[in-house]
Amino acid sequence: MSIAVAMKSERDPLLDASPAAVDIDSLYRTYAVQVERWVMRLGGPTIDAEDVVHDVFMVVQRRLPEWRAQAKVSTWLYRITERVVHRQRRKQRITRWLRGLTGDFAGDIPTPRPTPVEELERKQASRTVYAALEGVERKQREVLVLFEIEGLSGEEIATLTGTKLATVWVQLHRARARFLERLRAMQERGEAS
Amino acid sequence: MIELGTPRPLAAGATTEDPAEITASHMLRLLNTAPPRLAPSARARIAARIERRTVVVGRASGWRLWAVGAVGALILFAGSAVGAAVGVTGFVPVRQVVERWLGFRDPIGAPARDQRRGPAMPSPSPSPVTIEPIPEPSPAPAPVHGARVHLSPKPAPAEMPEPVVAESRLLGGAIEALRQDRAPRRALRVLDRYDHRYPKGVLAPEATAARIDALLALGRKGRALARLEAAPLARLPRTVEMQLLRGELRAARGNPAGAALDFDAVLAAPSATGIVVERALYGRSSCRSRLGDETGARADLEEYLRRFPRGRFAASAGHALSD
Repeated sequence: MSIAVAMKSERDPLLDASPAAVDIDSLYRTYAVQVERWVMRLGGPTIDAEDVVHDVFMVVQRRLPEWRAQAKVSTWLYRITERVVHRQRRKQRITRWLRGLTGDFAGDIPTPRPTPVEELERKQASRTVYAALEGVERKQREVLVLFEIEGLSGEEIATLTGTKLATVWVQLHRARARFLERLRAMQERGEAS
Repeated sequence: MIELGTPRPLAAGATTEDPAEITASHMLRLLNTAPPRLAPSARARIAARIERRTVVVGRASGWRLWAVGAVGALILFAGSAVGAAVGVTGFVPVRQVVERWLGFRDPIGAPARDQRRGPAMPSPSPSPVTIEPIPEPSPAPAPVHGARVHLSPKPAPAEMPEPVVAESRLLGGAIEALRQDRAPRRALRVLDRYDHRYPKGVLAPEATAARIDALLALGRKGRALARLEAAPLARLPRTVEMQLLRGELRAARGNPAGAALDFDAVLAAPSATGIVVERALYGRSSCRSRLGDETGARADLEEYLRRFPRGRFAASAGHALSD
């Protein structure tokens, strides 16, 4: 079940829990898959998802005493995730710049079996899309990823990011324009087909 | 206010003849069909790391820890400067208190005061720690291997200068934390202290290898690879094993060309035997396949099955060859 569907059909599982009853174990059990998915969607194929998910829950653990159930747990977790991913991407950019690398590719240790064409195509698409997204401003990029890749509705994005629906649409509109402009430039350079 | 309405997702199809929009639509549709997931082993590692952290750290907030660290560093710096200026060492207890408060405990049983004084202070006892390289690495890419720690008292050679004794004691503490206590996070803290005290220490290559092991024990493959990329491999202990690890990590990070070079070097090394060769052969076949060299990949797999018919990758190799 996609997160979008989950968000539509289910209430926040820990919404009614008292702050004292919410601990890191229950948060991890309930939200690990969701956080993992946010991390991989927002971070793209170059992110070290395992490290970042761990870092997110470290922040959650540290901030847990400050959480007073004023916001939905999922919103609170999403904001932490977005900040940690953003920090990680910034570090990656600096590292790439320092090393002069053009990119990095994620993935588990591969099997020597010939890669299926679909899988290869999907990986290439992922690299191209996230490379084009590199030039999009942070908030706009976030909205575009959640809408176009994660499949969330405008209302869900507004709730998750704590912005107005109209703002979401404006950001999406600008993000798309910038994204397509970048993609066009990449196509001209032969980097995307 | 401009009413923009609910936009249609690009993945639903391009609305113009713009090639960029058509490409974007196709690519986004591909991404929508495959929700990303971490491997179950990665999830288990994260859960274990979080559990360990629960016990160790408590619930102080980030900015407080940073503030404490900054104030502590200021006190240490000011104390050292004033102490050096007036020729007294009265600030050592302050540093001990701060270090203890921040959890920088020396993990070995030697008198703490002597260890915290650093290399310039005389050590009253010979080093209880020696580090011996183990020529044969363990089969798994797990980090807990490669050096053996003897804790039984053993007199240091008479000619060994004192700083080396203190240096080896500190490094031994890190290795003991890593291998005996299975506490890689603590090992990293001790290694940070080691690097700070001995930036050009004679045991620096061993410290780098221990750091790589600790990072891998924590599942931080990206950081371990960064260390391996930065370190001169020839100077590291367990050179062949470190090169194999670098190859595997490069392969996992999507650098099959770099990984294949590492596997080539490992397979050409005279000291490479057994499990090292097994892993390198399998790894190289994977990289060759990803680089489009199907003939080379098949040759490696056939060689693998000939030499390791019951190896840990035999089933995958057989399956790959049958495709």
